[in-house]
Amino acid sequence: MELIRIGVLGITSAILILILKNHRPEMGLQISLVFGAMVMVFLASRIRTVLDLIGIYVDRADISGVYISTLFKIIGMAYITEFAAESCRDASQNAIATKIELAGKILIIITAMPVITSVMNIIIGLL
Amino acid sequence: MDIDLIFKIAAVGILVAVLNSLLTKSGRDEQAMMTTLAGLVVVLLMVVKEIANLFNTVKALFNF
Repeated sequence: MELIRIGVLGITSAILILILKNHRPEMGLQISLVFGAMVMVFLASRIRTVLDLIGIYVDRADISGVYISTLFKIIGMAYITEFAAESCRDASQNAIATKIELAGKILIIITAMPVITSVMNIIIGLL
Repeated sequence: MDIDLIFKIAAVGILVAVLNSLLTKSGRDEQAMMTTLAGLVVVLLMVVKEIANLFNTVKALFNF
């Protein structure tokens, strides 16, 4: 089972990081980075089925593809931002992590702007 | 999902730590520093490959 594999992999990584922490703290960080990247890649390959299913229903409901692709793009950006910020926080660089999160938020707002403008146009048209 | 990579990095880390303490004990501080640096670069190359893999997967998945 995949959950068991991830759990065992995480425990093993934690033990290795503990061993290395006293002598080489930077190697411990590298191990946690690789573990995070591996788990995220694995989860990304699993979540594809869900996204495909959502795509099928969007096609059937005749919703414009622009909105749903914007939504997926925002989810992807949040995914990357979260990974990078947590990695920096692991290295106890909270300031850099906060900056990455800020950049992620601003870029997400910019990506969402077309959808927000279309909502605004509909509201103004109703008034 | 291969656990080999994590073990490889841990092995490099332990090796570098041992070499570092050996070289420092025998009074070759510069070479100890160089060993540390080399180990770091080797591990960083592996890590960068994995992270690039992650970012490419996310990019392909959410069609950026």
